[in-house]
Amino acid sequence: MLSELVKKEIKNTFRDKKVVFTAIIMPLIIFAIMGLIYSFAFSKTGEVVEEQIRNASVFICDNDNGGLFTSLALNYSHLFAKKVEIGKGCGEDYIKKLLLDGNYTVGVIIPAGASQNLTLLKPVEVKVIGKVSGFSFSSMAASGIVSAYSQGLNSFIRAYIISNHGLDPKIAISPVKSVEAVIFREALLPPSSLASLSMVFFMFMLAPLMVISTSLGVAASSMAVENEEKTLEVLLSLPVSRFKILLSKLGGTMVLVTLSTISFVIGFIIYISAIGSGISMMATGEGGFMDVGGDLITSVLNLQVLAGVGIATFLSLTAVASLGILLGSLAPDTRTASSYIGQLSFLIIIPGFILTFLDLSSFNEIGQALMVAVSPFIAPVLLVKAYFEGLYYLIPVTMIWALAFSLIMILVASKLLNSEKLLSLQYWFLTRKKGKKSKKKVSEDL
Amino acid sequence: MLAIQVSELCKVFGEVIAVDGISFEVEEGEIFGLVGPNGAGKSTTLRILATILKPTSGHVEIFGMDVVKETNSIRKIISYLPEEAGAYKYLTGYEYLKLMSKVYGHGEDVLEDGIRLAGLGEALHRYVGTYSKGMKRRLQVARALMVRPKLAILDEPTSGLDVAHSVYLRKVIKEYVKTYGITVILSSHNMLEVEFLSERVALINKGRIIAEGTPKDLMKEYEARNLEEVFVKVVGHAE
Repeated sequence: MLSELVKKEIKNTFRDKKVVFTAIIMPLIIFAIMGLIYSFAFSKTGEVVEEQIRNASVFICDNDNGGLFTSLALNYSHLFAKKVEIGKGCGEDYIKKLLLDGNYTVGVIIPAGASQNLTLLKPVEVKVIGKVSGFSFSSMAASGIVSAYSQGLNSFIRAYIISNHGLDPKIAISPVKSVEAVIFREALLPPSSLASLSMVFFMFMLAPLMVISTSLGVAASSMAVENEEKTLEVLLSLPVSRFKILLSKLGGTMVLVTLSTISFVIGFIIYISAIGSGISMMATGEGGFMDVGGDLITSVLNLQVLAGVGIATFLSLTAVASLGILLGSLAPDTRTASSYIGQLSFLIIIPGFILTFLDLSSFNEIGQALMVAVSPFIAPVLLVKAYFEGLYYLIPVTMIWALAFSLIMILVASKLLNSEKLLSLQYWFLTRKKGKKSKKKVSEDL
Repeated sequence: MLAIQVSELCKVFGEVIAVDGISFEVEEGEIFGLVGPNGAGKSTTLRILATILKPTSGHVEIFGMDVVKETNSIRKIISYLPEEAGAYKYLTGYEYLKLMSKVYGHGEDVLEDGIRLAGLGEALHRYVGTYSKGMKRRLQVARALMVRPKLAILDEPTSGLDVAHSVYLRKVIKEYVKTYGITVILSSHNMLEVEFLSERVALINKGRIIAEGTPKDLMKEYEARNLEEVFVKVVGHAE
């Protein structure tokens, strides 16, 4: 009999294309798209920088009347760009127009008296202007040409000054050749790569939270829909124990949740692979640490971790499915169930966001305990974070608590799956919702 | 044997008294009608009989079994049709009937009865979500009767249906329950329907039974031409 009810749940769930799409197809699509976008953004960023430098064209606005500074800037610009033009007595507005017309990529304004200042070893304020078309990674990279030009010009003129004083510019400019690195789980990383890794985590946090939220919604709907479509009363009058009804609900949801988990793990692999290759593509080669960052991310793909992520996701989904069934029981329709879920989403979103911006190790014991307390909702995120930070003891704690939470929810749900209690609670919710004036209407429904 | 025995039944929801100390009995094989306006307490009474709700006070027995203490045993011998009963929209009508026959531990013969009672033809193999209100109700009545319960609890069996569907269902109910000796308690505010189906009726208003008897006796007692007139006269007397 239980198998018949489970079959009914599976049929009724899987024939709903919306549910299948959101719970199974969406995690795959989201992860794959996120990974591809990230990878594309990295590679595109590199391409944009190369392209910008390769096709750089500079317009120098000379207000120094062809002095020493201008000739040095002109020499450097010929090294930096394919096309270099010079004009006299122009200002910012003229440069803006040239750049907006797309004639040049960099505009340089040399002030009057620049050469005199250079001779007197006084600083010269040169304006270097570039152009961006948005606020994307590519635009950010495009804006890099401005600092690249000004740093290059600075080095070029510094080298001129140093050599003029009879020193070796190579030594004088960089007497210390440092290679910066930070140690992270026995790997040496350039500090700059941490920004990329943070971005990886930021995006990684979003997807499981979405899958878990979806699972909560699907489970709540599976029960609330019994109320909404007026099937609950018949179900509760059948010669089937409440426990079996609950098990069949959970069984049907768990089949969906299992497939959702598999989809999640596959999507995770695609995402991590794409991210790993994306970071490697961004490698500058200098210091050689950037590749290590990519390898570190890709190293997550070992069987042990993947199994852990899979189990944690499954446990999280089970926990939220149990909670969803409980909430769905109390809701007279799917819309009300959605509002209950919406109110509980903070349990997923807030700890998820906290973990996005903070390391677990930055919390004290109470903070970590709080994170573990809400971990049934964010188990895969917490697990990966704990793994990366080497807080291995949190992994079994998270898993055990997620399992215990699921069992508690199932037990509470089975106690609540009593028609008298349910109808009384629904009556209570209805009268609260409709207000006292509508009690007559509610009593008529009875 | 008494199929239903209700003594001083009360049901209170918060401040609302839905059923206010009603008592009645239904003999095995009898078709008994509960008649009353919206909010009279009919559905609450039927829900208590169907073990969906528990009485606040009073005592209810179904075939000698207490509705509070022996719910599992009662559920095996009853079949309940709520006023607004839906079916799973992504199951076909056939799958739904098959599921219900299996839940009650029946086989193909019961399923065949269900198919015949529903009278939905080829539409039975379509998803329930595509059915009209009348088709859904026919499926539900078939579901409730095909399992051959000892007691069928039918809450407004033809509620909201057009004349054709209503006539079809009344005919099906009357014939099938007689064939299998099923006891029926039904509620309706359609007096003609109750008069047609029921051997005995109880008029219920504001949670109280205000008159009880065979339709013929009640009409005679209140000098009315039909149950509708009886109801108007009795409610008038009660208020």
